[in-house]
Amino acid sequence: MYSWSVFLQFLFSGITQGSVYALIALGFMVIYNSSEIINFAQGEFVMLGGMITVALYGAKVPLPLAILIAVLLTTLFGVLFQHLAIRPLKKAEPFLMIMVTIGASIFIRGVAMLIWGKGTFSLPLFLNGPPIIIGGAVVIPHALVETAAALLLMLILQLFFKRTLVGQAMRACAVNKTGASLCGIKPEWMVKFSFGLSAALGSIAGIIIAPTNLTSYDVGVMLGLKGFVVAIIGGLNSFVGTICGGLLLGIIEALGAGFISSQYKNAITFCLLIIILIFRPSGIFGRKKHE
Amino acid sequence: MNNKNYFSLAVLALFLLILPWLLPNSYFLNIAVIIGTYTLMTIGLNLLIGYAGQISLGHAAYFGIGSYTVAILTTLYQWDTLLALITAVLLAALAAWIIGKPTLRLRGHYLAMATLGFGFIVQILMAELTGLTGGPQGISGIPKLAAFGFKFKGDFQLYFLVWGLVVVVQLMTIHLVCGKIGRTFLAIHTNETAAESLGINTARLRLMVFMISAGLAGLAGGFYAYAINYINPEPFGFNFSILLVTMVVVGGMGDLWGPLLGTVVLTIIPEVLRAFKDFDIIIYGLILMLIIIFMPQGLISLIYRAFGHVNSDKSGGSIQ
Repeated sequence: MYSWSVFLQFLFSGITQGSVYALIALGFMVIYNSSEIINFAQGEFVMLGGMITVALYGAKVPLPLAILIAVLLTTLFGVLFQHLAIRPLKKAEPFLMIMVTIGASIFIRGVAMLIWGKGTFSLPLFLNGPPIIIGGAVVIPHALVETAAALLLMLILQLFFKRTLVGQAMRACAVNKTGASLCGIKPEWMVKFSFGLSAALGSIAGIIIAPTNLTSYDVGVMLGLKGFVVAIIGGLNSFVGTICGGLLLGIIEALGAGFISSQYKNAITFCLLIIILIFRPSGIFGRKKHE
Repeated sequence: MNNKNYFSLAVLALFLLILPWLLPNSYFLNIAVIIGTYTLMTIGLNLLIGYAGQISLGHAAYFGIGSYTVAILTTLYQWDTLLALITAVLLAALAAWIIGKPTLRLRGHYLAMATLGFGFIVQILMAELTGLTGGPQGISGIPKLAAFGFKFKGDFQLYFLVWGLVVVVQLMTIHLVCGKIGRTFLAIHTNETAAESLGINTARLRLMVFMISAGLAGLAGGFYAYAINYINPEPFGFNFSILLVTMVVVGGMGDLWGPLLGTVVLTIIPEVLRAFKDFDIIIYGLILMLIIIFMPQGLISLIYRAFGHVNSDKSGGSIQ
């Protein structure tokens, strides 16, 4: 039968995967809080991050530089996307906003397919070395880098929102747009900024996941949806909730795939989504909304 | 307003009657059958999106449930084909009830999220419940539909069957939208709280429309299984759900004739662009974005403008 070390093995891979999900989910949260838009193109930011890095690295650009350029380009892309597709809609109803982001994601995916084809690509591991053995479970060094990078990024993000002027202005906009603009904050700029930030988060998630999970033009669909499920679990308004949600989904998926069947991995995720929507629509870890 | 819609439908029916003789070959007839199948679904989806103001991002699931119900009942259990088709419609509507009942009470995007998840689960089950669905290989040997001593064999019969269904469904939709339900939705859109205080049960009404739209998708799915006699899980995924919503939006949601136009346009474009192969996905995305940004009333508004009347066909919940 299954031993303790097998359980531990699934647990570790769940945590690694889950921290990346949380990163993607935070992208959803940042945009939702500044503009109440569910951005279905979030997964494409993830894809762009990974694919641009692969393309640059393939063109003999050193890996750190390739990563930096990929993140910057994707960020620019996020801002451009907001400027061209979201801004003209102004105060359109939520449904049209969702549809325009879906249109954008189809478009971006199509362009990526034309440029890079339908193949699967990979990046070298960021950290090579002998695998670490904890309680009988094997952890490769890259997995540690992955988790650490995701957690560090979340910490920086948290500090950014708490301590910096721009971060506080964004939070003010999320609470009350009119009030914020009376204080001299331009909500339009904050929305633009949130798209850039969200694209940056997504692209980093896409890059750190590329060495182990591989990447291709359509990798963003499932990763985006996973991030979206995590954002719902986290309640779309809680930082800690989203991180817990990410780890929870990652671990449930890994255990489900390991002990039940890997074919049902995605089904487990979406069952979880529906159960939460039915019983706790404000998320498991989310703060209750006033409605 | 009502009469004008009935008149338009009569003109459409007449046109559909002579269309097969105008088409140069069976390839075009086949496309006409596909358009008819999709139109059954987009009409229902438009009721849900344009009138009830709810989104479904998993409508391919109901289409799939319809197809698989027909396929399983006729091949594994040798059911009568008409009875299997009716069961397909009811099962799709039942699935919508199960998903819609708990989620439609909530506001916002919740139904969109729940339907999206449901769509994925259904497609995974289709691929994994091998004993029942044949797994990724699917089910072959589905018989032709036989009803009232008549067998629907070739594209010619299928064409008249599916477009006959479309005309009947459209007739019922006009009746629904221009009648009490349409006025109720108008009330809900104008002021939901006021409407509820007048005794309108908005959640129940939304659930009803959701079940109707799912039932229509089930009908289309059953028809599809009888038309091509072989199904596998592939067409019933997220992309197809998105395509259906795109058809409604591009045509003009909240308009009785928008979905038909959107379905025709978005089914023909990839056929025309077949020479460019992979380009069609980019074109879809681009059309969807451009329409929403520059023409949120959909392509149908162009036609109304050309004929010089300003959207007077809208009776119910066109969304601002």
